Amino acid sequence: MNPETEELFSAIVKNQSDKILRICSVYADEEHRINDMYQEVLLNIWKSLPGFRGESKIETWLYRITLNICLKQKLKLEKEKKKFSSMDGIQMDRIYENTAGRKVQSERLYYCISKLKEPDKAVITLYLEGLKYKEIAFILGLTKNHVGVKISRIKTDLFHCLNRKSV
Amino acid sequence: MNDQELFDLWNQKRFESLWTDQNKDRLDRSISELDKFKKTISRRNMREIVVALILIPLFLYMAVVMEPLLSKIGAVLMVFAAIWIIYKLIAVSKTRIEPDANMDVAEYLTGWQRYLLNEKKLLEQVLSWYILPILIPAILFIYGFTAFSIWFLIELLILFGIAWLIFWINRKAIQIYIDPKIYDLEKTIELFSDPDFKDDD
Repeated sequence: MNPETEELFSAIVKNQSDKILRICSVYADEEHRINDMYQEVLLNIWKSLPGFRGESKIETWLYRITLNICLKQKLKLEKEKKKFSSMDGIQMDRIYENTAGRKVQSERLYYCISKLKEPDKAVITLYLEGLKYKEIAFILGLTKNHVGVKISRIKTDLFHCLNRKSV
Repeated sequence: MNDQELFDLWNQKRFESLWTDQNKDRLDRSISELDKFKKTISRRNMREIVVALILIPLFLYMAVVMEPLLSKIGAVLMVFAAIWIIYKLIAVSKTRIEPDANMDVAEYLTGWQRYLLNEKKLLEQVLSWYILPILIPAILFIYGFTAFSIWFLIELLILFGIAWLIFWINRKAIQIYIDPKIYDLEKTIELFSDPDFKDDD
Protein backbone atom coordinates (compact mmCIF):
# COMPACT_ATOMS: atom_id res chain seq x y z
CA MET A 1 0.00 0.00 0.00
CA ASN A 2 1.38 3.41 -0.93
CA PRO A 3 1.96 6.15 1.67
CA GLU A 4 -1.05 8.20 0.49
CA THR A 5 -3.41 5.29 0.98
CA GLU A 6 -1.87 4.55 4.36
CA GLU A 7 -2.43 8.15 5.33
CA LEU A 8 -6.06 7.92 4.22
CA PHE A 9 -6.48 4.75 6.26
CA SER A 10 -5.06 6.44 9.35
CA ALA A 11 -7.43 9.36 8.83
CA ILE A 12 -10.37 6.97 8.59
CA VAL A 13 -9.34 5.23 11.81
CA LYS A 14 -8.92 8.58 13.53
CA ASN A 15 -12.08 10.32 12.30
CA GLN A 16 -14.61 7.63 11.50
CA SER A 17 -14.09 5.15 14.33
CA ASP A 18 -17.08 6.29 16.36
CA LYS A 19 -19.41 5.96 13.39
CA ILE A 20 -18.16 2.48 12.61
CA LEU A 21 -18.39 1.46 16.25
CA ARG A 22 -21.93 2.78 16.61
CA ILE A 23 -23.06 0.62 13.73
CA CYS A 24 -21.13 -2.40 15.04
CA SER A 25 -22.75 -1.98 18.44
CA VAL A 26 -26.16 -2.53 16.88
CA TYR A 27 -25.01 -5.88 15.56
CA ALA A 28 -23.21 -7.07 18.71
CA ASP A 29 -23.92 -6.24 22.32
CA GLU A 30 -20.78 -7.24 24.18
CA GLU A 31 -17.76 -4.96 24.10
CA HIS A 32 -15.27 -7.57 22.95
CA ARG A 33 -17.59 -8.65 20.13
CA ILE A 34 -18.09 -5.05 19.04
CA ASN A 35 -14.34 -4.66 19.05
CA ASP A 36 -13.83 -7.83 17.00
CA MET A 37 -16.43 -6.65 14.50
CA TYR A 38 -14.73 -3.27 14.35
CA GLN A 39 -11.35 -4.90 13.67
CA GLU A 40 -12.92 -6.91 10.87
CA VAL A 41 -14.42 -3.77 9.35
CA LEU A 42 -11.06 -2.00 9.50
CA LEU A 43 -9.37 -5.01 7.98
CA ASN A 44 -11.80 -4.92 5.06
CA ILE A 45 -11.39 -1.17 4.66
CA TRP A 46 -7.63 -1.72 4.56
CA LYS A 47 -8.05 -4.43 1.93
CA SER A 48 -10.53 -2.44 -0.17
CA LEU A 49 -8.92 0.98 0.09
CA PRO A 50 -6.55 0.58 -2.88
CA GLY A 51 -9.63 -0.16 -5.01
CA PHE A 52 -11.55 2.93 -3.89
CA ARG A 53 -11.97 5.02 -7.02
CA GLY A 54 -13.91 7.91 -5.53
CA GLU A 55 -17.12 7.12 -7.43
CA SER A 56 -19.06 7.79 -4.24
CA LYS A 57 -18.25 9.83 -1.15
CA ILE A 58 -15.71 8.14 1.10
CA GLU A 59 -18.26 8.10 3.93
CA THR A 60 -20.87 6.33 1.80
CA TRP A 61 -18.22 3.84 0.77
CA LEU A 62 -17.29 3.30 4.42
CA TYR A 63 -20.88 2.75 5.47
CA ARG A 64 -21.32 0.15 2.75
CA ILE A 65 -18.31 -1.78 3.95
CA THR A 66 -19.21 -1.40 7.62
CA LEU A 67 -22.76 -2.58 7.13
CA ASN A 68 -21.75 -5.52 4.95
CA ILE A 69 -19.08 -6.73 7.33
CA CYS A 70 -21.20 -6.23 10.48
CA LEU A 71 -24.03 -8.16 8.91
CA LYS A 72 -21.71 -10.98 7.87
CA GLN A 73 -20.06 -11.10 11.29
CA LYS A 74 -23.43 -11.07 12.99
CA LEU A 75 -24.43 -14.22 11.15
CA LYS A 76 -21.32 -15.82 12.62
CA LEU A 77 -22.13 -14.62 16.13
CA GLU A 78 -25.75 -15.74 16.03
CA LYS A 79 -24.67 -19.36 15.96
CA GLU A 80 -22.62 -18.97 19.14
CA LYS A 81 -25.29 -16.96 20.86
CA LYS A 82 -28.32 -19.14 20.15
CA LYS A 83 -27.99 -21.14 23.35
CA PHE A 84 -27.86 -18.01 25.50
CA SER A 85 -30.56 -16.02 23.73
CA SER A 86 -33.35 -16.62 26.22
CA MET A 87 -31.15 -15.50 29.12
CA ASP A 88 -30.08 -12.39 27.20
CA GLY A 89 -33.64 -11.16 26.88
CA ILE A 90 -34.33 -11.51 30.59
CA GLN A 91 -31.12 -9.74 31.60
CA MET A 92 -31.60 -6.83 29.20
CA ASP A 93 -35.16 -6.20 30.34
CA ARG A 94 -34.11 -6.19 33.98
CA ILE A 95 -31.40 -3.65 33.32
CA TYR A 96 -33.83 -1.31 31.61
CA GLU A 97 -36.46 -1.74 34.26
CA ASN A 98 -34.14 -1.09 37.18
CA THR A 99 -31.87 1.69 35.98
CA ALA A 100 -32.80 5.26 35.29
CA GLY A 101 -31.15 8.14 33.38
CA ARG A 102 -30.33 9.35 29.93
CA LYS A 103 -27.44 6.97 29.35
CA VAL A 104 -29.89 4.15 29.92
CA GLN A 105 -32.21 5.69 27.34
CA SER A 106 -29.35 5.68 24.87
CA GLU A 107 -28.60 2.05 25.65
CA ARG A 108 -32.28 1.33 25.34
CA LEU A 109 -32.28 2.86 21.86
CA TYR A 110 -29.42 0.57 20.79
CA TYR A 111 -31.26 -2.35 22.33
CA CYS A 112 -34.50 -1.48 20.51
CA ILE A 113 -32.62 -1.14 17.22
CA SER A 114 -30.88 -4.46 17.76
CA LYS A 115 -34.31 -6.11 18.06
CA LEU A 116 -35.47 -4.84 14.65
CA LYS A 117 -35.45 -6.98 11.52
CA GLU A 118 -32.08 -6.90 9.74
CA PRO A 119 -33.15 -4.68 6.81
CA ASP A 120 -34.89 -2.21 9.15
CA LYS A 121 -31.84 -2.17 11.39
CA ALA A 122 -29.64 -1.26 8.43
CA VAL A 123 -31.98 1.52 7.28
CA ILE A 124 -32.32 3.16 10.69
CA THR A 125 -28.62 3.04 11.62
CA LEU A 126 -27.72 4.82 8.40
CA TYR A 127 -30.51 7.34 8.97
CA LEU A 128 -29.33 8.05 12.51
CA GLU A 129 -25.81 8.48 11.17
CA GLY A 130 -27.24 11.42 9.26
CA LEU A 131 -27.17 9.97 5.75
CA LYS A 132 -29.59 11.32 3.19
CA TYR A 133 -32.34 9.08 1.81
CA LYS A 134 -30.54 8.98 -1.52
CA GLU A 135 -27.33 7.73 0.12
CA ILE A 136 -29.17 5.12 2.18
CA ALA A 137 -30.92 3.95 -0.97
CA PHE A 138 -27.55 3.69 -2.74
CA ILE A 139 -25.99 1.66 0.06
CA LEU A 140 -28.88 -0.75 0.44
CA GLY A 141 -29.97 -0.97 -3.18
CA LEU A 142 -33.43 0.55 -2.55
CA THR A 143 -35.41 3.42 -3.99
CA LYS A 144 -35.34 6.80 -2.27
CA ASN A 145 -39.11 6.79 -1.75
CA HIS A 146 -39.07 3.44 -0.12
CA VAL A 147 -36.35 4.54 2.27
CA GLY A 148 -38.61 7.40 3.38
CA VAL A 149 -41.58 5.13 3.95
CA LYS A 150 -39.43 2.62 5.83
CA ILE A 151 -37.89 5.24 8.08
CA SER A 152 -41.17 6.70 9.24
CA ARG A 153 -42.49 3.23 10.05
CA ILE A 154 -39.31 2.19 11.87
CA LYS A 155 -39.31 5.42 13.86
CA THR A 156 -42.84 4.70 15.07
CA ASP A 157 -41.71 1.24 16.15
CA LEU A 158 -38.68 2.70 17.91
CA PHE A 159 -40.66 5.35 19.79
CA HIS A 160 -43.07 2.66 20.84
CA CYS A 161 -40.21 0.44 22.04
CA LEU A 162 -38.49 3.31 23.87
CA ASN A 163 -41.65 4.43 25.63
CA ARG A 164 -42.71 0.97 26.60
CA LYS A 165 -40.13 0.57 29.36
CA SER A 166 -38.42 3.91 29.64
CA VAL A 167 -38.44 5.43 33.13
CA MET B 1 -39.88 12.04 21.92
CA ASN B 2 -38.92 13.78 18.67
CA ASP B 3 -36.40 13.14 15.90
CA GLN B 4 -33.69 15.31 17.43
CA GLU B 5 -33.84 13.41 20.70
CA LEU B 6 -33.48 10.20 18.76
CA PHE B 7 -30.35 11.52 17.03
CA ASP B 8 -28.98 12.73 20.39
CA LEU B 9 -29.49 9.34 21.98
CA TRP B 10 -27.84 7.66 19.02
CA ASN B 11 -24.81 9.94 19.13
CA GLN B 12 -24.46 9.70 22.89
CA LYS B 13 -22.77 6.36 22.75
CA ARG B 14 -19.03 6.79 23.17
CA PHE B 15 -16.24 4.35 22.50
CA GLU B 16 -13.08 6.12 23.64
CA SER B 17 -11.79 3.08 25.46
CA LEU B 18 -12.05 0.85 22.44
CA TRP B 19 -9.41 2.33 20.14
CA THR B 20 -6.01 2.02 21.75
CA ASP B 21 -2.49 1.16 20.70
CA GLN B 22 -3.37 -2.36 21.66
CA ASN B 23 -6.11 -2.31 19.01
CA LYS B 24 -3.63 -1.03 16.48
CA ASP B 25 -1.40 -4.01 17.31
CA ARG B 26 -4.36 -6.35 16.97
CA LEU B 27 -5.22 -4.91 13.59
CA ASP B 28 -1.63 -5.29 12.45
CA ARG B 29 -1.72 -8.86 13.66
CA SER B 30 -5.02 -9.53 11.87
CA ILE B 31 -3.59 -8.15 8.63
CA SER B 32 -0.48 -10.27 8.91
CA GLU B 33 -2.61 -13.31 9.85
CA LEU B 34 -4.73 -12.75 6.75
CA ASP B 35 -1.59 -12.58 4.63
CA LYS B 36 -0.32 -15.69 6.37
CA PHE B 37 -3.61 -17.51 5.66
CA LYS B 38 -3.43 -16.60 1.98
CA LYS B 39 0.20 -17.69 1.86
CA THR B 40 -0.70 -20.97 3.59
CA ILE B 41 -3.37 -21.69 0.97
CA SER B 42 -1.09 -20.84 -1.91
CA ARG B 43 1.77 -22.85 -0.32
CA ARG B 44 -0.58 -25.82 0.07
CA ASN B 45 -1.64 -25.55 -3.57
CA MET B 46 1.99 -25.17 -4.59
CA ARG B 47 2.94 -28.25 -2.58
CA GLU B 48 0.21 -30.31 -4.26
CA ILE B 49 1.31 -29.04 -7.65
CA VAL B 50 4.97 -29.84 -6.94
CA VAL B 51 4.03 -33.37 -5.80
CA ALA B 52 1.97 -33.80 -8.98
CA LEU B 53 4.89 -32.50 -11.05
CA ILE B 54 7.20 -35.03 -9.42
CA LEU B 55 4.68 -37.82 -10.04
CA ILE B 56 4.54 -37.09 -13.78
CA PRO B 57 8.14 -38.06 -14.74
CA LEU B 58 8.19 -40.77 -12.08
CA PHE B 59 5.12 -42.55 -13.46
CA LEU B 60 6.19 -41.91 -17.03
CA TYR B 61 9.40 -43.75 -16.16
CA MET B 62 7.34 -46.50 -14.48
CA ALA B 63 5.17 -46.78 -17.57
CA VAL B 64 8.30 -47.53 -19.59
CA VAL B 65 10.10 -49.89 -17.24
CA MET B 66 7.24 -51.79 -15.62
CA GLU B 67 6.48 -55.01 -17.38
CA PRO B 68 2.89 -55.87 -16.36
CA LEU B 69 0.44 -54.26 -18.76
CA LEU B 70 -1.97 -53.20 -16.00
CA SER B 71 0.85 -51.41 -14.16
CA LYS B 72 1.79 -49.62 -17.39
CA ILE B 73 -1.83 -48.51 -17.88
CA GLY B 74 -2.04 -47.48 -14.22
CA ALA B 75 1.16 -45.43 -14.53
CA VAL B 76 -0.05 -43.64 -17.67
CA LEU B 77 -3.40 -42.90 -16.03
CA MET B 78 -1.57 -41.59 -12.97
CA VAL B 79 0.28 -39.12 -15.21
CA PHE B 80 -3.04 -37.90 -16.61
CA ALA B 81 -4.46 -37.70 -13.07
CA ALA B 82 -1.50 -35.57 -11.96
CA ILE B 83 -1.98 -33.20 -14.92
CA TRP B 84 -5.71 -33.04 -14.21
CA ILE B 85 -5.15 -32.19 -10.53
CA ILE B 86 -2.64 -29.45 -11.41
CA TYR B 87 -5.18 -27.97 -13.83
CA LYS B 88 -7.98 -28.21 -11.27
CA LEU B 89 -5.94 -26.58 -8.47
CA ILE B 90 -4.99 -23.66 -10.72
CA ALA B 91 -8.57 -23.28 -11.99
CA VAL B 92 -9.98 -23.41 -8.47
CA SER B 93 -7.58 -20.79 -7.12
CA LYS B 94 -8.78 -18.46 -9.89
CA THR B 95 -12.44 -18.86 -8.92
CA ARG B 96 -11.78 -18.23 -5.20
CA ILE B 97 -12.68 -14.56 -5.24
CA GLU B 98 -14.26 -13.12 -2.12
CA PRO B 99 -17.02 -10.61 -2.81
CA ASP B 100 -16.05 -6.97 -2.64
CA ALA B 101 -17.34 -5.40 0.58
CA ASN B 102 -18.02 -2.23 -1.39
CA MET B 103 -21.27 -3.52 -2.90
CA ASP B 104 -24.81 -2.84 -1.86
CA VAL B 105 -25.88 -5.13 0.97
CA ALA B 106 -28.03 -7.52 -1.04
CA GLU B 107 -25.32 -7.94 -3.71
CA TYR B 108 -22.68 -8.48 -1.07
CA LEU B 109 -24.66 -11.17 0.74
CA THR B 110 -25.50 -12.89 -2.53
CA GLY B 111 -21.80 -12.72 -3.44
CA TRP B 112 -20.91 -14.52 -0.22
CA GLN B 113 -23.60 -17.09 -0.80
CA ARG B 114 -22.21 -17.73 -4.30
CA TYR B 115 -18.69 -18.00 -2.90
CA LEU B 116 -19.78 -20.55 -0.29
CA LEU B 117 -21.82 -22.53 -2.80
CA ASN B 118 -18.72 -22.76 -5.01
CA GLU B 119 -16.68 -23.98 -2.05
CA LYS B 120 -19.38 -26.51 -1.21
CA LYS B 121 -19.53 -27.77 -4.79
CA LEU B 122 -15.77 -28.18 -4.82
CA LEU B 123 -15.76 -30.19 -1.59
CA GLU B 124 -18.76 -32.26 -2.69
CA GLN B 125 -17.00 -33.18 -5.92
CA VAL B 126 -13.71 -34.14 -4.27
CA LEU B 127 -14.45 -37.75 -5.13
CA SER B 128 -14.60 -37.07 -8.86
CA TRP B 129 -11.78 -34.54 -9.24
CA TYR B 130 -9.29 -35.72 -6.64
CA ILE B 131 -9.92 -39.13 -5.10
CA LEU B 132 -11.01 -41.30 -8.05
CA PRO B 133 -8.46 -39.97 -10.58
CA ILE B 134 -5.70 -41.07 -8.17
CA LEU B 135 -7.35 -44.16 -6.68
CA ILE B 136 -8.14 -45.97 -9.94
CA PRO B 137 -4.65 -45.69 -11.47
CA ALA B 138 -3.11 -46.60 -8.09
CA ILE B 139 -5.20 -49.79 -7.87
CA LEU B 140 -4.33 -50.77 -11.45
CA PHE B 141 -0.67 -50.00 -10.88
CA ILE B 142 -0.45 -52.12 -7.72
CA TYR B 143 -2.60 -54.95 -9.11
CA GLY B 144 -0.30 -55.16 -12.13
CA PHE B 145 2.64 -56.44 -10.14
CA THR B 146 1.05 -57.98 -7.04
CA ALA B 147 -1.91 -59.62 -8.82
CA PHE B 148 -4.61 -60.91 -6.49
CA SER B 149 -2.68 -61.59 -3.32
CA ILE B 150 -2.81 -60.79 0.36
CA TRP B 151 -0.47 -57.81 -0.30
CA PHE B 152 -2.84 -56.48 -2.89
CA LEU B 153 -5.73 -56.74 -0.43
CA ILE B 154 -3.76 -54.98 2.30
CA GLU B 155 -2.72 -52.18 -0.05
CA LEU B 156 -6.26 -51.93 -1.37
CA LEU B 157 -7.52 -51.58 2.18
CA ILE B 158 -5.01 -48.82 2.93
CA LEU B 159 -5.87 -46.97 -0.30
CA PHE B 160 -9.61 -47.15 0.38
CA GLY B 161 -9.02 -46.11 3.97
CA ILE B 162 -7.15 -42.98 2.87
CA ALA B 163 -9.74 -42.23 0.17
CA TRP B 164 -12.60 -42.62 2.64
CA LEU B 165 -10.84 -40.37 5.16
CA ILE B 166 -10.35 -37.59 2.59
CA PHE B 167 -13.99 -37.92 1.51
CA TRP B 168 -15.25 -37.93 5.11
CA ILE B 169 -13.20 -34.87 6.12
CA ASN B 170 -14.62 -32.94 3.17
CA ARG B 171 -18.21 -34.00 3.97
CA LYS B 172 -17.77 -32.97 7.59
CA ALA B 173 -16.37 -29.60 6.51
CA ILE B 174 -19.54 -29.06 4.46
CA GLN B 175 -21.86 -30.08 7.32
CA ILE B 176 -20.08 -28.19 10.08
CA TYR B 177 -18.80 -25.04 8.40
CA ILE B 178 -20.42 -24.41 5.05
CA ASP B 179 -24.07 -25.54 5.23
CA PRO B 180 -24.96 -23.58 8.38
CA LYS B 181 -23.39 -20.45 6.92
CA ILE B 182 -25.27 -20.87 3.65
CA TYR B 183 -28.52 -21.36 5.58
CA ASP B 184 -28.00 -18.21 7.67
CA LEU B 185 -27.07 -16.20 4.59
CA GLU B 186 -30.17 -17.44 2.79
CA LYS B 187 -32.36 -16.29 5.65
CA THR B 188 -30.80 -12.84 5.68
CA ILE B 189 -30.94 -12.49 1.89
CA GLU B 190 -34.63 -13.44 2.07
CA LEU B 191 -35.20 -10.60 4.52
CA PHE B 192 -33.43 -8.13 2.27
CA SER B 193 -35.38 -9.26 -0.77
CA ASP B 194 -38.69 -9.37 1.10
CA PRO B 195 -41.26 -7.53 -1.07
CA ASP B 196 -42.06 -5.37 1.96
CA PHE B 197 -38.45 -4.20 2.00
CA LYS B 198 -37.70 -4.11 -1.70
CA ASP B 199 -40.86 -2.92 -3.48
CA ASP B 200 -41.45 0.68 -4.10
CA ASP B 201 -44.51 1.88 -2.17
